[in-house]
Amino acid sequence: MTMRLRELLARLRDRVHRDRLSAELDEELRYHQTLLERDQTAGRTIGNVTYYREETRTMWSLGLVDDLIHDARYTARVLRRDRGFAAAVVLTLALGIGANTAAFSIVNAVLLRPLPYRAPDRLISVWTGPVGSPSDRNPSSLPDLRDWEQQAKTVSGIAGYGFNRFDIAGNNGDYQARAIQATRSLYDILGATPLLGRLPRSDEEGAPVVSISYRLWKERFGGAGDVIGKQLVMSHQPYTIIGVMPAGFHFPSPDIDLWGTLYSIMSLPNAAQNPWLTSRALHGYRVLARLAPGATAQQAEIELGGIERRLGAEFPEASGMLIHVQSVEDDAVRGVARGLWTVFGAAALILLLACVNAAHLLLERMAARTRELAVRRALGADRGRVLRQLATESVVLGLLGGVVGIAFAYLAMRALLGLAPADMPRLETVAIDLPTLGFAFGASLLAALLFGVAPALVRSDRDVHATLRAQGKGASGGIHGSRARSSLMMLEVAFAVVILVGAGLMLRSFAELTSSPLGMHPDGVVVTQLSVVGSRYQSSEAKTQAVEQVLDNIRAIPGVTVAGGSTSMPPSRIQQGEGFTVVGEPAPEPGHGPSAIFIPATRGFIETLRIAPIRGRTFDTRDNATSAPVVVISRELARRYFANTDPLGHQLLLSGVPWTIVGVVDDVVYEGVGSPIRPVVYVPYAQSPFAGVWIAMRTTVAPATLTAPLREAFHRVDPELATRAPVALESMVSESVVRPRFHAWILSSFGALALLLACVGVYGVIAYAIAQRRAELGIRIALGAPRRSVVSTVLRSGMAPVLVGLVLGLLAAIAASRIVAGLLYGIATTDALTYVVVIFVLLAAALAAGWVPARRAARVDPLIAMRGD
Amino acid sequence: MAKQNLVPGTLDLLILKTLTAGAQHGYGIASHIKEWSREVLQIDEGSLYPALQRLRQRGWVEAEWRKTPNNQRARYYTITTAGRKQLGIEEASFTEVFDAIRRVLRSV
Repeated sequence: MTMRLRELLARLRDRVHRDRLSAELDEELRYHQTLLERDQTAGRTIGNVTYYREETRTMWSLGLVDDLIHDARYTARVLRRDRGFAAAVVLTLALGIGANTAAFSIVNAVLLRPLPYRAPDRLISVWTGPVGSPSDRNPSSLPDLRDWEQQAKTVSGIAGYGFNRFDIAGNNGDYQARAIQATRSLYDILGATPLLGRLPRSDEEGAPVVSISYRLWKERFGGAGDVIGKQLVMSHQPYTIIGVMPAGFHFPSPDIDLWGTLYSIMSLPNAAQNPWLTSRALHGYRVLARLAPGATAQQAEIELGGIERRLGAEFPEASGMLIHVQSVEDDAVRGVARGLWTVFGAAALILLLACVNAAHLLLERMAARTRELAVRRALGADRGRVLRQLATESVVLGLLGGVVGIAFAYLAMRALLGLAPADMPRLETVAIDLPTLGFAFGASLLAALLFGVAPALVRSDRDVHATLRAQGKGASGGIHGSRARSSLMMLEVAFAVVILVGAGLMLRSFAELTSSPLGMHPDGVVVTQLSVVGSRYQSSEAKTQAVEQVLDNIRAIPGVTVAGGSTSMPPSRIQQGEGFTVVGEPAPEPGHGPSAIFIPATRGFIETLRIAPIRGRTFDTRDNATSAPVVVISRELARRYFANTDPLGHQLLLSGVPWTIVGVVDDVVYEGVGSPIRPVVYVPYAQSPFAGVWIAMRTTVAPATLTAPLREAFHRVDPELATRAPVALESMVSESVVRPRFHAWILSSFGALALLLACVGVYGVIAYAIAQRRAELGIRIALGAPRRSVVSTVLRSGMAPVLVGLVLGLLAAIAASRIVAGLLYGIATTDALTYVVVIFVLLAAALAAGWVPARRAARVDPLIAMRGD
Repeated sequence: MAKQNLVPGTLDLLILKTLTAGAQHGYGIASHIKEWSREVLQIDEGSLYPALQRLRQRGWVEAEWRKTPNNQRARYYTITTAGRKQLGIEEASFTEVFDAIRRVLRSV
């Protein structure tokens, strides 16, 4: 081993001093020759000295490495000579690799990189769902969870967590931080490692302790190392900071800043009776569990389902519940995976298209170089050596493309991140990191192999003599060459069609989505939030009074015409759903009852959003805490449950109380633009007050100008009320379609890129065909053929493969479009308009690309054309 | 007698053995082998000089420019300690193989 190393080092040293060693060898051989000539008995003279020298020289070379260096030098020379060609290939590849690398960096961060928990593949989410609608995924109640904790054997730990918001006083206004409130062993199950300190222990369920996010630590505490043990006032209650989580840590979503305990609920007066802690009907806890060694998620689902059935037999509130188990890894990316993979698939298609295009360019150039290669072969370079030279050129081009592509990817990634939905999980970890660079490098090499070596294999076997005889003209323009070119162009067109169809479907879907009815008029509406929390607002009266007073102050602000509050805000903020029954109808089976989105709203809310009244009335000053419970229902609820009767005067039973229907209003989107319409019940806020209130006001002024008057309106009621920046409802609407817009935008830019690449291909093929047929075209023109007919002849021959590619692409697109079916809204994957537009756009682009060289052909001077090169 | 090709792998052995008699230049090594093999073994320059480079890279011989008795410059090769050790190994293995072949040749 050491021997080998020593020999290798000696070789390296000799390689460096090769020139000196060569000179010495020459002298040695000359001396040898002298002695040989002097020796009469030798009977011979020295042989082929050059051969001896070459043989010996191999002892100082590094074999393959030297050949590669030689190839690379040659490549650099060749590429410098054909600068335009090299730039075209590098740019084409860079676009493909750039698009891919950017898409990969996001896919890698969001979908591929393991979650920052211990053995995340053993973590499961447990959901409940009523028997009647098995696709529902609801959280669980705390008492049910405690029973699972005691009885389940298939999990080594199971715990729940709820979400909460806390106001944290900051230097520039209040900051509302989202928190996780966990039951006993949640953090043990998660197995996350804090940056500083620790996470709450299982014996601290009722303790005022909290671990904070890296973001909060930096912003609020300036990243101070002595933060552990300090106090943090959260919504007027002091907590002890026990840990800081690392940057990029998230559980369960990236917007959480606080990981705490059930303290805020358990410290309330009468906690022992608090329904969030005691009721089996309140499903307020998401459930996380770690599978016991050897247990599978399926076993856990069966076991927990069995426990839940037994609980249902014992407690009617828990009956009719199914248990669904999902891996946390799937859960984390639910809803985004399909979209991202689609984007990635489109990017991969772009890379393929870029490769085909590069192969095309290479083939073009290879034709021009046939003679050079034939000369090299004739001079003794063996086929392998020529192949290796061509492969080296491809690899160099591929790597150059990769480097430029990474620069493109960096720019593209910034653009993508700007467009990406903010709630996309783990987006903050997107970066051009080592795996991404590795991917780009691998993609460039793969591309180089695809576009470079394949044509090289086809080409290098050409008959050397025939090529040399043909002066490098005829052989390159042979039937085979043009057929290969046409098939490549066909492929390019087909790929472009697939991507264009995808882009078209996304755009159409997005247009459908944004024109889908919202059920309200967001223009001119400004929205802010009010939370009436803390010891002062324990009672319903206190909450109602504060909200009413704030609203009165807001209505007095100049420019505000009407205002109202509600626990939900269209298009996508809902507080909760609730089961109900129609009084007088037979009670439904457990788990099969109807449910509606339950919205306590003040007077003025429906008017502010201009939700169209259909029958009866909305809320006014008559409706207060002591008046009879009344409810306004949505059109969908009336359609479903009062199809044949007038709903007014009927009663709905909600949480055991009968509410009289006094009005019907139009349907409004509360669960995201484009989501199916669900029944809604509005009740007077005073009759069911909640702490968190969305406030909407119709105004003629910009949201920003309302900041100060709103703060004033809040603080005149209570200086400790937290204020949040007012936003236009229209921006909330556009924010709620950010994900479809993201897909539509990316795929459209990919579509444009694909079209461009395909056009370059069409241009290349037709330009080449014209170059080959110059003499013939010259004769035609000389014989009096009208230029127009020359143009159409050339175009027609070029368009045939375009049409074939178009048909192939359409077929492939129809097959592939099923993948994006789940991302589409309001249109079918076979949407005729999309396909027609794609066909039209592609043909127009291809004709334009072909027209340019064809026109030039028609202007050819017949004399020059016929004379040849 | 016709010139014979060397048994593969024995060139190193012959060069090293030759050098145990003292430093020698390339031509000298070739003549020594030719003479002592009674002109049966003729070393081709195309094999000799690469072999010398290889032995030098492996550290078994050292090369040095010296004046010949005729006052000409020539590159002389000397065997190193490592080279002597290697010679021992190669000689032993050659003898072993050679004896083995001879035994087989006498067997019938």
